[in-house]
Amino acid sequence: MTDTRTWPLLQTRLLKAGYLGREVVRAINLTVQRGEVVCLLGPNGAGKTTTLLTIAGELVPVDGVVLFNNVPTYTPMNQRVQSGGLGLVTEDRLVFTKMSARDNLRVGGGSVEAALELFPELEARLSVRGGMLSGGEQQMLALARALSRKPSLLLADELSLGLAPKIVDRLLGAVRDAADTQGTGALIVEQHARKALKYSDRMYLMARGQILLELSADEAMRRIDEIEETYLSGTSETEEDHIERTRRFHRRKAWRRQRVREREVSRLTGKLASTRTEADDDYYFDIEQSRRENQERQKRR
Amino acid sequence: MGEVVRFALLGLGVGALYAFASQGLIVIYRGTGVLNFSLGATAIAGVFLQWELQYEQGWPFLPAALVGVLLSAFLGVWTHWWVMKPLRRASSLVRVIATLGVLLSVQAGVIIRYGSQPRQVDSWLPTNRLILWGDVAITVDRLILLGIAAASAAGLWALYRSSQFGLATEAVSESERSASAIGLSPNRIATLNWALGSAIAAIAGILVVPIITLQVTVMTTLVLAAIAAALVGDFRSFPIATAAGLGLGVAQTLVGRFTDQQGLGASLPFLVIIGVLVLRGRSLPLRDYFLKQQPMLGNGRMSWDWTILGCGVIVFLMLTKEPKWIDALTVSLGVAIVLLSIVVLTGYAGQLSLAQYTIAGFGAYVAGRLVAVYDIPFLLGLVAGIAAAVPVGLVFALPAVRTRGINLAVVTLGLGTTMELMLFRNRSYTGGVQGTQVGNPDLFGYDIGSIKYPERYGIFVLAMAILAVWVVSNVRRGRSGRRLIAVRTNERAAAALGVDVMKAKLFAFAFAAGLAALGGILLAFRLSSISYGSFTTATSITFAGLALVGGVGHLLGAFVGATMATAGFNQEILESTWGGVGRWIQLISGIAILLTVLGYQDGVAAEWVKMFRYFKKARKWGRPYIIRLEDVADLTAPADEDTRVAPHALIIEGLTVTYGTVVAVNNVSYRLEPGTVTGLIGPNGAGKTSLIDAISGFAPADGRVLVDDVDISMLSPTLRARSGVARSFQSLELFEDSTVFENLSVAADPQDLRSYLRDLIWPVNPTFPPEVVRAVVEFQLDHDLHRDVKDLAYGKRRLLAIARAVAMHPSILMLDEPAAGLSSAESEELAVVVRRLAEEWGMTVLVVEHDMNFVMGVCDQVMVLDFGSLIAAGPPEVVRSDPAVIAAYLGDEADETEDDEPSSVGAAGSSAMTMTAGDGS
Repeated sequence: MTDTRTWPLLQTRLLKAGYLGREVVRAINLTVQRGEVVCLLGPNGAGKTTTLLTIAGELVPVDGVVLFNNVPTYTPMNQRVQSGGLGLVTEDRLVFTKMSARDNLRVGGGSVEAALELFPELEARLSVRGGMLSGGEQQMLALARALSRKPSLLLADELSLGLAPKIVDRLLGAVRDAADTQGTGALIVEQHARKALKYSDRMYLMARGQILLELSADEAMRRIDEIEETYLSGTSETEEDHIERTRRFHRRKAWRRQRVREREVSRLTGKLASTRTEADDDYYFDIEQSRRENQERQKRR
Repeated sequence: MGEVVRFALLGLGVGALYAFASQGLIVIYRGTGVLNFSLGATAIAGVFLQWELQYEQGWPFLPAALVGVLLSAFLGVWTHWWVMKPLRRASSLVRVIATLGVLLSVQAGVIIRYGSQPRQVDSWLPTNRLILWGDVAITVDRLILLGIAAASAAGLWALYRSSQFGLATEAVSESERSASAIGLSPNRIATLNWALGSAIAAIAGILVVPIITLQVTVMTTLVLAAIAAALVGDFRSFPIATAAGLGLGVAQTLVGRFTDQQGLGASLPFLVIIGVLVLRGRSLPLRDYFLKQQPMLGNGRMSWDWTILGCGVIVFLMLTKEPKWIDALTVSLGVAIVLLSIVVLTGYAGQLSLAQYTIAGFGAYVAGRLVAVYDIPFLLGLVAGIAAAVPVGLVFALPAVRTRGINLAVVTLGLGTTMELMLFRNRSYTGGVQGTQVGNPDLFGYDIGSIKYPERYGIFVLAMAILAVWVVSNVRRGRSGRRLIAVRTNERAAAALGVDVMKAKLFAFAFAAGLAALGGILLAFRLSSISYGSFTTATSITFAGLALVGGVGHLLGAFVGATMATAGFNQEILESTWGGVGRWIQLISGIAILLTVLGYQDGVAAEWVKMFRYFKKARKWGRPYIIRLEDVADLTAPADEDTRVAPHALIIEGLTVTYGTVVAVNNVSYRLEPGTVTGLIGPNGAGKTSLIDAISGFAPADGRVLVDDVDISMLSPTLRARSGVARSFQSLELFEDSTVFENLSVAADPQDLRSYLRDLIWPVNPTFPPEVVRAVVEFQLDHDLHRDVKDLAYGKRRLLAIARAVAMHPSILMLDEPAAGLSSAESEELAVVVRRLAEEWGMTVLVVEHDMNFVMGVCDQVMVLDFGSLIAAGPPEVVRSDPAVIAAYLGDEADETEDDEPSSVGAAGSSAMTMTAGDGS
């Protein structure tokens, strides 16, 4: 009897991501199956966009791995979109202002007919320049272009940002449709929880760089108040942070004590004391500390 | 009339060249956002190869042309892959110098292989005359060229308008990131465009070279005309640029024929450029990157030990070596003074000027003419030359007020070329064939003429160089230096701190002009008869590159770079070691510029400084450079009470900000009282930062902003900052290359004009008034004053951004997301500080924040924005349970009826949530 395991379309393992050396997302594990719509909810600054961009390939993970169909992927973003079956709609809408809507759909290999099937209301606006389209039309354009190439995985960041509820329904409906009819898996980041949950199968709740909750959409709607609570109150610093900071504090104190002792000793024995002072100590301490942290990080990799 | 038409038609030949070159420039610009100054050089390399293959190797025309075109295309691709791609995150200064480095290298290489004499080439196109009407005739080749230029324009227009390649190029040029996100490879597009653009220019060169002679410098100067034509076409439109190029060629020929003013025709492109850039208000649509790395700055402290040692060595060399060595040293020292001016202008103030040597020439011109014609003493001439150059520097500064980066480089290039063409090349102004006779300079009767007493002149130049270094060092360490660096690093932040950006730029240009003039006069007076033909724009460009190689932020860098100058020290060394190799100095300079730009962007001197500091620290000798707060605090003033600010209320009335059709802030009115903290919250994109931008003057707005009853709505950001409105930025906008102390000093310094003059001689050691001392202690930065900002931890950087705004001692303080990214404990500490700022200092504080705990704990009043409108305002508890606010954040609709529990959110119910770490699949 063969064990037919279907690998998830997308999986991340202990994914850590960030910008400029700052870790914004710590040890995320999430999955998306074929034909499933998963929404990623959470307050501002939680790290949702960072996670999405790391999965898309724009940001290189600090640690951990992104797997498509159980294959770890390290290719750059444009390759993932071009030949890797990824569809991407980012927060800044990806609409080129100086091109017509028709050209916007065509660039990168999109299909105008397929796009018009999804959003027939775009037909009237095909020759309008991208910059002149309304926000809703631009978002429809970006989503249509991504879906017209029949991707296997769709990543969408804040589709509903600044748009009227009816248009949000159209957009999320199109994503749901693609998942149901074509088996496209979708990971959508949203701020407005209730709307997003109506069209999703599952949800993850993120705050301060970590996943706090993973629920099915129905369960999440029942517990919607808890979820919305995280939006309106900042969540506390994690245990790890606190321990790390206290450790540093104690280490710094110990270092200072040792220097004082050294100075006492050299004064008593008459040997020349170094001309370093407390301020220098801190400075050199910080350099030592960061060097040590770098080494540890290297070892861990 | 007939003659006008005849000459106009003649001008079509050179016009076609301009048109083609502009097409090539536009292709490369559209594909990569780079203004390729080296287009002419790579094209002429291809043309020379074709000439060599055809005339010296006997190949037929077409294969030879094909190989030539391929060479140019290859050079273009090579430039992209090895030079521009590694630099895509560099500042525009570095990228401009990179293309100039390619220009110099390729040009030098071509000269070495083919020499610089002009050659006449037979035309491949038929040249029989065609009578159009009456006595107006035109040669067929010009007609054909016109046809090809038009066809090329049409073809390119079609290509870029509707093919996938054209759409992809358009997408990449608008946003590389968006293009990558839809699956395009910006790198591939860039490579193809570089190849295409270079090939077009090469084809143009091969076709047109029979009309103009085959000579290296011709093609490289045509780039200015090509830029002018492309600019008229806004670097987008092929048909318009082609028409402009043809028109420019025709205009030049007509002007050259019908006016007597030499050089006016050749300066025509520049006039077009200045018309478009400055008057029409257009600018080259740059792609500037978010995190540009600027070259490192030195701290400007002169080490007298090393200086005296260096002087001793140079004097020794001068007294003992043969005249050609002394002359080489003198040239290097003179060039070093000119490079010092570039250090001030480009290194400290960040303004790229490609005309410094031309201004040096102007100073030499004034001094030389005065001495030759009116027989005034040398020193007086020196002073007069410097004084005359300063206003010229101010003239060059005017475009800098409205343009920056590459635009400024292009404008200065044009201005310099015009001066060179109209003044220096004009024999009637420069004393005819024998040049300007100045005789031997003397110092109060003591003959220091370089011909008879080279060592005396050399020592005089050395003394002037040390004087120049001392003055520049004073400026660097003084208030004016801090202002220049603030303007260079971040103009927005500088304006927000009250620095008058325009005056700082004017000062930088004027000071640099004076320095350059000093150098130019000293260099010119080496000979008893000055010919001004050596003050070329090409040398200005080379000097800008050499300054970068040496280290454009360091005093020492000017001297290191100067050794590489033609007829300078390095050339002499090369010449003596391997005879005949001296002419390779140009090529070596070009390659050195490229290597510096790619690897050691900070320059040679900076690398030495880094090594020296590392050595010092490893061996632990010398004292580490620490600034103690007690040393810089001005403790003569009395105690705490005086650190309260003058209380002023902030009133906004009907403030509206629109960006095109998007309304970012919609008719917001509010009154903020002194001594209170007001929070500004709202969902993403609600317009919070736009509101702060409008109040601080960074965004144009309708409505009024008043401080008590003074209307500040019409003031610039700088003046608003000076009237007591300070802000911090969401992206911090710190001066990354400077120390914490310098960042705070820029804010704390009084903004006076006098310091510009006073710093030249006597820089004031900056001290902190008591309120700034208190701010430093409050934000716990007292042990970090000497540290570079880029070495600070994240939390400290955020505190520094706020401390800098507080150091201005403002009555009104606006903080944009001060707690972003801080841990919970750090947020609490910040909350305490913000509270104290309002209660103990008496400021009117406006805080934009997302962190609800922070806002609720700190604020007396809260304003809520959604879609730009003020939907709620009042005490925190009231606002929190306002249903409109909750709806804005959570996206409820009015007709949502499924979950019928009241949507009021519990006050502190986080413990009620069962949280599990998201751990498995």
